[in-house]
Amino acid sequence: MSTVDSAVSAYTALHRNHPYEQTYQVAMRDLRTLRFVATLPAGVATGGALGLLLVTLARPHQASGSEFWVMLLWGAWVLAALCGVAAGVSWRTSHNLMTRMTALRTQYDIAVQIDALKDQFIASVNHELRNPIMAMMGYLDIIDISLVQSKLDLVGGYVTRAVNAGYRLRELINSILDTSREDQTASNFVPTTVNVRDALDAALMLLNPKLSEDLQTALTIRLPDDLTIWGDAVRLRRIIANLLSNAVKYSPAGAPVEFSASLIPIPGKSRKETTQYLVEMIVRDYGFGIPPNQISLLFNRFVRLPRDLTSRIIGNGLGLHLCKVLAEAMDGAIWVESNGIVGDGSTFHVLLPTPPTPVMLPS
Amino acid sequence: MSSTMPPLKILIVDDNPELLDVFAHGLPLLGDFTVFTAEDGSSGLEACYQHRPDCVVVDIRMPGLNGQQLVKTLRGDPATAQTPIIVLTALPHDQAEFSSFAAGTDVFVMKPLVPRELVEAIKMALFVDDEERAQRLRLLVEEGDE
Repeated sequence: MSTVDSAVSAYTALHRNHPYEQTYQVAMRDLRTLRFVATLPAGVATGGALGLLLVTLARPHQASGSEFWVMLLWGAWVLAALCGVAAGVSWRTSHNLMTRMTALRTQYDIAVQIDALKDQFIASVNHELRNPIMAMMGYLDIIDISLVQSKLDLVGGYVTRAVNAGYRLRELINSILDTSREDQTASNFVPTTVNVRDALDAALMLLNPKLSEDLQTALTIRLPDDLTIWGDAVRLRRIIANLLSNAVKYSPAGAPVEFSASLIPIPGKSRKETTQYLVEMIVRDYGFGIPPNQISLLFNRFVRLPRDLTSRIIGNGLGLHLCKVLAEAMDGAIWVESNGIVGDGSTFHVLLPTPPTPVMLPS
Repeated sequence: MSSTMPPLKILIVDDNPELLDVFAHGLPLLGDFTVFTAEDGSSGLEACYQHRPDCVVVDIRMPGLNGQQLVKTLRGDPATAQTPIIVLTALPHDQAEFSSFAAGTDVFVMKPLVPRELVEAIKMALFVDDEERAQRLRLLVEEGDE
């Protein structure tokens, strides 16, 4: 007889009338199969032990902090329900208690998510920072050894490499600081009419030479030359540059990339409202794709997919976050579609407003 | 490492070419080392059979065959089961996560580290005697059975 079974029978022996004993089998993704035993002795309405809630797992298991939380909340839930039954309170009161528990649960879920984001930030920043730091420290160490051993001819080359690693470190730190500044100043601009083709051409100039060389053969463009948005040229250029550079970076060499943009009609809500138009830009790649369960994280700051942390693709997890901030600052939106299958790639959509229609004055 | 001994063959497996460059230049300045490098787990495995290193230094996070899989493979083969292994980690968290495979390694070191520190780690790894390693190996096998 297991410890749990003996606990249950000891409890049952103590309270022979237990009309509410229930056993539930609950299969939870995280907690494997749990057995719930809830008992409520009759006649105990207020004070003292109300009942017993036993949660058992099929095998020995050290519960983690979050598992304890979940169990605690379930316990509270059951308690709320049992309190309702025992005290004869209305179903509504009991229901309200449950609702509050659910709200608590939601808050907890949000807290867990934020915590996961924090961990991810530490992981990705750590991953990106450690390489230049290690290179810099490593070369300095060799320089030191060479100096001690009077191998002066070697020193020059190592100094250059250490200095270069230092530059990369500075660039990385600057880009981290820049985003936090850009987050704050994203909506400081006066909207004007911006030609999408011009923004695309400027964006291609922004990319580093290696990327733009790769893009030259891979990129196909479909967009009307006179297509314009209502926003800011610098911001639009950044969005396009970031999406295109991601499309190349997260695809095998030579895989095609498509850029297209068009006007899409948004029908008015009532007959009186006329149809509005928005500009939709689409950047399509045939690269590694994004696992669907990781899509929701993608536009958060400093997020890099677990896959990328073990790859040679350098990134700081800021590009897509910036795209989102800038698109939203221009009253636009950005989202991605991907099934996570390598070779099927990803499709990024950006919606942006069109310039306001000038009021026609009677001539 | 007396002068009568042949140079110690060290294999370093890491996906960061700069790190490989640092150690490939640094270790020979510090002792009688011949350094071999590999940029991912599978070429690391190949290099291991080709060069028969006296000590293998492995990064945990690598594309393709990762450090954990490489260590398990090396430990599973009688030819390499006794080779001292040093594991490089970037996150203390990794060490906890891979505690089971920690049994197969001799020394854990945190990045960033400089050539002089790696040499200390190599000396430490070479110190682990066969009996100690056999005991860790049993642990690894038991973990693998679960």
